[in-house]
Amino acid sequence: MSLPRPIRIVGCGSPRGDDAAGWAVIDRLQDQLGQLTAAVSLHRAAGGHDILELLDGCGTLILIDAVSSGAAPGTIHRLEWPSPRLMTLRPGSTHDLGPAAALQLAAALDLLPARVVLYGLEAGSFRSCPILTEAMAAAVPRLVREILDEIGSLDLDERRRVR
Amino acid sequence: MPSKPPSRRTISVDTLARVEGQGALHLTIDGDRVIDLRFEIFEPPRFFEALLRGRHASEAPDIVARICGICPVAYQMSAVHALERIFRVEIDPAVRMLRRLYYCGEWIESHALHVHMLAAPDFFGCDSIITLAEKERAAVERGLRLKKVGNAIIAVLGGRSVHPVGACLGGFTRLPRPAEMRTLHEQLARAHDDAVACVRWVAGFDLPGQSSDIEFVSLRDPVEYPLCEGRMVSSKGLDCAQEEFDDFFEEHQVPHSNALHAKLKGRGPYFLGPLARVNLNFDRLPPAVVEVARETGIAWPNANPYTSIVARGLEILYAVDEAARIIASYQPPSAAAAAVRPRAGIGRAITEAPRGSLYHAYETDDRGIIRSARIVPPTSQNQAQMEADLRQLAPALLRTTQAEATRLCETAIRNYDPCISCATHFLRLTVEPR
Repeated sequence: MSLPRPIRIVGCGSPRGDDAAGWAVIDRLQDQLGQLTAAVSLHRAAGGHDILELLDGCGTLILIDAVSSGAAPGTIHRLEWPSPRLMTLRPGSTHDLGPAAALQLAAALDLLPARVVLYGLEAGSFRSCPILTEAMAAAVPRLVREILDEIGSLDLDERRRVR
Repeated sequence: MPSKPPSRRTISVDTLARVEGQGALHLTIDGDRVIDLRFEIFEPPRFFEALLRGRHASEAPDIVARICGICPVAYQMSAVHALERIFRVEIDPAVRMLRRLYYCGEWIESHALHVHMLAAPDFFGCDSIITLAEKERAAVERGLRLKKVGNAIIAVLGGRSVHPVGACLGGFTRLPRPAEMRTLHEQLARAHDDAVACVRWVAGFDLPGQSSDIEFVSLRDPVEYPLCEGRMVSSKGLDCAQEEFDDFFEEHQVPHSNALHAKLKGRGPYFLGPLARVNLNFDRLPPAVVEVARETGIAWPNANPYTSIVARGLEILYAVDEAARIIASYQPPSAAAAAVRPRAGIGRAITEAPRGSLYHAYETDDRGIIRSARIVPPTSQNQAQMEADLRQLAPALLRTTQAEATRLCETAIRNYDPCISCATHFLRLTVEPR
């Protein structure tokens, strides 16, 4: 019998304003994952290099990051690799590999897990501020519920596959 | 019959690609004459020197680590050396070796990042590491492995690999555990072959030739390849103590850059970084690294700025082997950090950041409060030399396409691995009273 391949949930961000949303989602998930049976691990990442280091042996990767697409603040976007929007996403920084570029590089090196989901949380502000904007703070628990549903169904699929 | 090249051309690169931070280049050439050349650093200044004023010296290592996500260790090491000079702190030799190990980690991760992700794509007609990975998969995988080893060293000593917090005045906030050191040693032993392969790979690139009358500057230590100690020396006879920096070097503002330019007083631009260090310290490299350097077929010392990428590869190899050597002979010190008693005074120090000599100067009061801080990073010092190289490139730019001219200019700038974000905290703001 093969063991289920781990699900890694990675929140990308920084402590600045709504860019901290990815980390906030990870912190909330931390308290709520006790009842799940599959191997789920939670990680905070600062950039794409951190993501590359989490791919080894991973079955499903769920990434959460703040995004800026022009949608209403707090909007939850869900993209699944391969998606044209992920392939053409512009990097937000010249100092590091962004999450989308990290996925593109991982794909070129055949390092991507079988399933990759990116949740984008539309930011209201990237200003340096220790708290999330109201819209983002409201979006975080909604996304946590959505991710719990998603990994619950993945967990079931995985158990059926292993059986 | 080939078409006649235009006699006048303007090359504008509004945002330079694959450099750390944001800069631009504007170049106008008329015939063989450069009539306008501006390597523009337009990132806003960050005022770190002002942030340090009024803070306690013990806070400096954590504050300056925030200047750069790629070379925080360099900022921490220049700061602690300068401040420890004021406070007359005696550093345990074992702590000194741990600092050297910490710095090796930064050289490995920073150089591996630059060689593979920023510079190498130029030599394969690629626009990024992603397209390079399709052509040179093994090399990219190797580069990522090397970067990971460098990050692991910084994480063990600094608590985390980006903006580390483990360095403090007198040493470290905690000592590495034996198991952590064993794991690092195993990773470094595996990284040696990767580092040798990296040197061979970059030495095989079709590097442009350019011979220039460059003054190379770096630290030089009586025994070791320089990281944290030594005198400032140059290929044209400069030899001064770190404390004499202001007697021989001067900074000046130019209208087009938010980073101060620098020159050697009475002489002009100078060149800092891996090529300067290799040129001035080749006899300080261990035999195993010298052997690999000789195998490349490149003559050392070398005045062609494009061989910088090979020098960077040699320094990856040096740092991997040096880090393994330090761990193999490591005996823990009696304490993670020496006691520090604040004093009033002025302290100056230079250490060798991945991009070259990084100067810090501080003045403290008798409680250890920082009264003034001055930071002169290598990228700002290299700006004038970058512009000199671009002037030399100008005639070739007239004879090629706009896209190729842009690529040639960016490749020339990348020889210096400029970290623009580090450089931009020097704008002097003058408020005129009304």
